[in-house]
Amino acid sequence: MTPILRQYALVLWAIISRPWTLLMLGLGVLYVGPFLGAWLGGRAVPDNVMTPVPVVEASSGIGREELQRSALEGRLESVTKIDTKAERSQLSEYQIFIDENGQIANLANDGRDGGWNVLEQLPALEKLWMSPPDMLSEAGWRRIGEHTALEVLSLPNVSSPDAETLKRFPALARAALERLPRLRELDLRGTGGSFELLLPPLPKIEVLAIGWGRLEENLRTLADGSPRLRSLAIQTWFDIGFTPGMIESLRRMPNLRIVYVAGAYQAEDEPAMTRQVTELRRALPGVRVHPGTYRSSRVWASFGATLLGMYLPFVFWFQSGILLSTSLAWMLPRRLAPHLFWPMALAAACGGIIVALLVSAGVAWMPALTLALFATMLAAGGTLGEVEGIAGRISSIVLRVELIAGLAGAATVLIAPWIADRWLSGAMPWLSVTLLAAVIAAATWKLARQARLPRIVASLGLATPPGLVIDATQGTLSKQPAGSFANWQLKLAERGVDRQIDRPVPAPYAEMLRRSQPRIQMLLMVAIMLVVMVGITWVIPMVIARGTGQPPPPLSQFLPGVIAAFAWQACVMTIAQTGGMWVQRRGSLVIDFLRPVSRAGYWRGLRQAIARDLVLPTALGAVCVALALGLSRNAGGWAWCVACVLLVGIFVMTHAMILLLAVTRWPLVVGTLMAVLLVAAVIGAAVALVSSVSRPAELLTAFLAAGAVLAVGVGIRIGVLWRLEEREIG
Amino acid sequence: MTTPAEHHDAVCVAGLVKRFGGRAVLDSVDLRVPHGQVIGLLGLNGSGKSTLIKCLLGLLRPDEGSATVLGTDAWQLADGEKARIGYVPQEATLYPWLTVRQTVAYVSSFYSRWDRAWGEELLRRWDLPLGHRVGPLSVGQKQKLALVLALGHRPELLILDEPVASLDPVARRWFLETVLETAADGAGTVLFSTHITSDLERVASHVALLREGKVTFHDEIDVLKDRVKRLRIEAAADLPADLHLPGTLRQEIRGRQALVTVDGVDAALVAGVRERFAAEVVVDNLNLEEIFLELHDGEAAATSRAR
Repeated sequence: MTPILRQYALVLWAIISRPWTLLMLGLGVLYVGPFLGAWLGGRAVPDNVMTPVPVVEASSGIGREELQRSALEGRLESVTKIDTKAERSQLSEYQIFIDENGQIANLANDGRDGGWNVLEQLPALEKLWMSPPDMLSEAGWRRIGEHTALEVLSLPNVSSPDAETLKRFPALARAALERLPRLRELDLRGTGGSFELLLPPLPKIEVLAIGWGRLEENLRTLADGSPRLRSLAIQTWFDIGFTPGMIESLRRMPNLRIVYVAGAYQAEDEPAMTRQVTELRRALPGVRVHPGTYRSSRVWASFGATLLGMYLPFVFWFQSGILLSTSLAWMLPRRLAPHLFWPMALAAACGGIIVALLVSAGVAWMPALTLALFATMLAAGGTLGEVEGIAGRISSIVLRVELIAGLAGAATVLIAPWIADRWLSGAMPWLSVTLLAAVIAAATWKLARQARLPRIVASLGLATPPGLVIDATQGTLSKQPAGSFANWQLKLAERGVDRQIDRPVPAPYAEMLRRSQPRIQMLLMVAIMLVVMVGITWVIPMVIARGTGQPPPPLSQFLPGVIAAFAWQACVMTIAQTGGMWVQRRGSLVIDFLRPVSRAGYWRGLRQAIARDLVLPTALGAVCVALALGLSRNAGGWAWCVACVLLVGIFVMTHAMILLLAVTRWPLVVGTLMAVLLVAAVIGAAVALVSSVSRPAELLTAFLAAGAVLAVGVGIRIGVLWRLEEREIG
Repeated sequence: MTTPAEHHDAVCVAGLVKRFGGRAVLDSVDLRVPHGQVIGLLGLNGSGKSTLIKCLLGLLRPDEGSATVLGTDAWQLADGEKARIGYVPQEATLYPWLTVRQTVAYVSSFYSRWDRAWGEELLRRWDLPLGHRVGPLSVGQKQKLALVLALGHRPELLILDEPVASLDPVARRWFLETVLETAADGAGTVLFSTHITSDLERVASHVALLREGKVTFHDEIDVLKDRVKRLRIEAAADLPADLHLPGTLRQEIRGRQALVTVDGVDAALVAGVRERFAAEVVVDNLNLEEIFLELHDGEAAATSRAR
């Protein structure tokens, strides 16, 4: 083998033989595995179904259970918002009755049977959301008309119970709508029989979604009698066009800001919809015209593929930075340095896979390339953050902008996937060009700096690349500029340790052991993560609302999901940090044993200290699970029991493994084993939890899986604690 | 159960055996260190010095025999006994994220009888930067800090495992003075393991030589010096290839001249050599390092000859 090939082979071996690499690859299974499994199993492959873009304000109404409580407590007069799909059970059309015993009863017909109809007792009802399988009978339409305070009425795809009602729909709906003078927002897309509906004058209407039938007449009515209309969604068909009469009416609407054209129900109809959108954009130059449907599966497939492609390059880029701190750096050739070659090769391979996956999922090539480049180069230059000087500042800015852009992108996917899909489908060419140029510039800059990193490290007189997490313990960060964030973090940690050390003595040994560990940084990191995630999640709806002219969706609607995701990430991060912290203490634990403490007291204290350090990650994990279950409409009491068993099992396992990691003579073996076992346990836990929620019939299997996790955890704990006090130290 | 004699000893080791993977690293070690004694443990790398110290500290459990420290079985040391022991390891394992000041404050909080003034005096004497983080300190500075942490509670028994190897000559001098000061207090017993025999010679009154897991010599340094000496022999005729002197550690014979290191030199031996070989004999005193080398080189040579 030639010397140059030997160098390349040596660097590759150095990267993949590091314990950290093995651990991270093990953890990566947690992220990549489920997605890959779903993709290979065909579940994550994007389908052809198009989803309507939400137009009226998002639902915030109460459901059946809250309504029942309100009825029993005599608070019906104060109910203003109802969503028939809210909470766990379906609240079907006007079929809720309270019987003489105060029990709720569902009646298939309109009979009274000794009870009284709750929905007739809502004088203050202002907002009503209904959706399939709800149906609207003649009586239903009549009652809607009786709620004269209604301001928001959303009935997409709500059908009629029989052919006769369907036939009479135009008259029934028109009669009802005529009696709603305060109506501001109305969604009638796909509502049964709406094809022939002639809208009455709607003087206060601001947001409206209607079908294609009688469109020309309806647009004329709106142009004449609805001066406040600012957002209009039109359900079209792939082979139709807009008539001059329609265009003329649209032009006469004084406050019209945005029009959604929904002309595609299958992916293959997208070009036709794009043609309609383009046609209308030309006709209405002052109005924003967007597609009215989007492919949510394309968004999620892109999101998953990006995360998938991010992980492996991240591990290699980080190792590339670490390797520069060793003497290996000084044997690297100047051009095509091996420490750049292998991460670049891996990034190119992963990037190619991402592009192929995304293009096959219907993503335009420019967004596909942007996502691939962003994902595979995100971790490049991650060790440059704290280099001093103008170049270092540029690097810091690049890294932070990338982080914010990534979070903003993720938040957009979560909150407004239709906007993400518009970009993915290639409908936002200027944004596509700008983002692609930005990621190319960022990647080029980071590559250039990473190539120079050996010299940067040497010129700063450092032993390790700046900006590494490990510096916090090795003291390199103490050389940071006085005003830098890193220095501030160090000072904060120092003050935290000061406070811990100043606490009264004597104290339990476990408490004394923990006093030397800075924990405020971990808390700070969790707090910053929370603020950033919630902040971005809060800002994005504002931006969307400003862009669409609609009120932003209520924070309460998506915040639990965001916090659950945050809690999961924070849980994983804090477990990793806690484990790392105790591994760092392996050497000093020998000295800690020689403090005035008995052998039994030492082991008891060590166990307690680690257990107390796991309180934060456990709490975060519990929050994540609780929110996930709380968000699910099907999670019953058994699912909560399964979750509790799983949490206890994983806590017991993690505690025992960290204890073993801190005192074993084979930390690499134990660390790798720990990562693999934890990954397996968490995957098992996720499967058990999902099964217990989504497939009640498989509850026994879920319990068995949870029990297995608990049994393995307890088994490991028994093994680790077996004759622990007899264990030799050091 | 300890005997009355053991109560007078700071350290008492009897028949101690410690094996790793079937290999006996310590093989029936016997050692008694009375209170107030400064004793040096001398031996080659791998001779078992650190293992013996770990057994004394209760970090390792003896396979056979016993190790008693301050009157208590070393494996069962309670908090009270541990508070009376100070320990400086070969490599100071401190908390790199803490500052020097925080480290001292943290460690001192474990000890109810921590002598704050004495600790500050040591910090000042060794010029340790209080506000600096421990991580970036030099190896020597870390070792000094470890010694401060070991001495701050004025231990009755100070165990030092090759603590000066990483110190510069000035720091070593300071270090030795501090050890002497500790010993001079009267109550201090010091068990001192090192390769640097000159340091040991300056500080220790006694020495224990460890070789392949066994204590081959344990007594006062002066006794050792009195026992092991080098004979310079100049005979009238050529000397035989082997002089067959009892206790010979090493001999170098060239014609009529010979250099012979002997363990157990006395007047009768010298007179016998003069008479047997009609030779002039000069007896040279050896320092501890020379004795150490002769003991190991000589025995190695003897072993090699036997093969």
